Amino acid sequence: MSVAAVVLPAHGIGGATDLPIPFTAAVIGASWALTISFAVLALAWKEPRLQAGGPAAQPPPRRPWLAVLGLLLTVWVLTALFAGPSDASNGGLGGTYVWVWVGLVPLALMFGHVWRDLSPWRTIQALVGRALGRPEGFVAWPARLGYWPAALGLLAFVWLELASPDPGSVEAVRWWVGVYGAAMIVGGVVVGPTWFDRADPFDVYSAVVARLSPFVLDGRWKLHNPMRSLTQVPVAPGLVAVLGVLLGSTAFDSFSASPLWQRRDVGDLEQTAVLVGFCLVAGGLFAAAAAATGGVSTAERRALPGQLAHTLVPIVVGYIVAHYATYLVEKGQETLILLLDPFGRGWQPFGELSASYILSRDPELLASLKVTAVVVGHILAVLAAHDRALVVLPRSHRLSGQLAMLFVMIAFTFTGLWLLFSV
Amino acid sequence: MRTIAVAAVTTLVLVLGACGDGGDRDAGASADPAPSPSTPASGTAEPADDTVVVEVTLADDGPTPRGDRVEVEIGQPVRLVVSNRSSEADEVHVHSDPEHSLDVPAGASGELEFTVDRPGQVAVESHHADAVIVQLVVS
Repeated sequence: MSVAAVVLPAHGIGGATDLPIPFTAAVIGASWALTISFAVLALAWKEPRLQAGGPAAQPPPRRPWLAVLGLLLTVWVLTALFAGPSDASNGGLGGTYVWVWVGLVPLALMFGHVWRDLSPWRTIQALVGRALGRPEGFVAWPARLGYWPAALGLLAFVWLELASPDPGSVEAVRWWVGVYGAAMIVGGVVVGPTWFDRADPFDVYSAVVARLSPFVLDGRWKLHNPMRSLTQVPVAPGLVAVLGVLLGSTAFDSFSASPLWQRRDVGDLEQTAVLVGFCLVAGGLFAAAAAATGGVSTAERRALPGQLAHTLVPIVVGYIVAHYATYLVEKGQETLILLLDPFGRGWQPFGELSASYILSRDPELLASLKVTAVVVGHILAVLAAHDRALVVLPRSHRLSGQLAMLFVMIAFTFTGLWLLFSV
Repeated sequence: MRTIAVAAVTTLVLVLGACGDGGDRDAGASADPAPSPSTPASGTAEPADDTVVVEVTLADDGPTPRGDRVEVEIGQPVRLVVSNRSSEADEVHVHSDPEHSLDVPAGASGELEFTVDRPGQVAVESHHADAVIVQLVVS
């Protein structure tokens, strides 16, 4: 059935992609977003209501059974990646591009930052650190580095997936994962667990998204208002960059499948430059809009993008859910089937399985789901930004100081809907 | 707050309404065996049956057509007629599930016929040029 040839997927993994959403769906989503945005500005509360009133609580110690589960899953996927076939039938590709990269988001929304417990790198660090008698590492994490290493790690990953010469190359993914794993182990042993809070791209991504989980708060089951826990994303330099990479790269992924881009002869360098450009524009616009208010000192202005960074999270999550829903549900199943045969020997421990294409078979349902995800993300973001603006902006600039941010959020959402409609 | 709630409900109704429209159109399309009126403009010939024929020329400066959208109905046969005028062998990949692929040596021609059985977009790519020839819009 499958040809033993190298396939050239645009996405790391081949196969069909979603239909564009219908024009009406895009327009309805856009008008909804626009209306509610200005309704919030004009009519919503005038005193902060959604602030958590303190930093996040310390999570409980990592649960050993989850650490073991995380190790087992890692060994499974890495065995397939490194010992499996060297073509598209290698389940490690989907394990990386689908399970880890996309699966991380719903996992964090459902179970909070469970990545922290599952992370094999944290487990290895804990064991090695204990053996060396240095569980907290050898050097303290320089605070000024903030999340920048994680932002660069995320950029390196989206480059591999979207802009490298051959994203479907098993060899390339092996190299990437190998270097990443080595960096996590060495960094973790040297710096201690803080390394993962600031430099592990996936750990940081999960930690940020997990603040939006309504079910788990700080590692414990607790039904709560996610708008309140969202405000507790720990602010450090590079946080806006992390979000800029996530949003910009997802938009680039859509854009690079547009006829406009496909008709051009694009070199690898140009591809990389445009990907970086998308991330810079996303992060830069957000930072500029956050700082665009009157009545603050230079130092206060500089702090504003960080203080408002968490408000971008719902937009990022909504757009990523819309962009990757089919990919996760359908390629996720294909990946499971491939991973059940990690060495490519035709193993079928559960008989002949086939994936269910439940989302792509129903384009109308899928389109509604996508628009709903984008619009809900937008509304939550606007509400979060409004509430935080009431805290951080001077009283006399509370309305005008929110305007730039409102326009940028509307621009992000319109761009997202336009890409979903036109590509 | 009441204003917001009303706006939300109204729009939700509109969204659901729009979905209903789409569903009807789709049901009609799949039940109708007539040839698709939306045969693509460039790079295609008039088919005898309802097969969508896409004529592809591979050259040293890239494929023609390139990046075009071709509308296809679910289950409608698609025939790629590939003529490789470039100086090197090439492979044409069809990124459907399952994937299809066609080897075309330099100076040779080849044909590949297949159907796509669920909605989505399927890229047809030239491996050598690393370029999308056409993207099938299957609905």
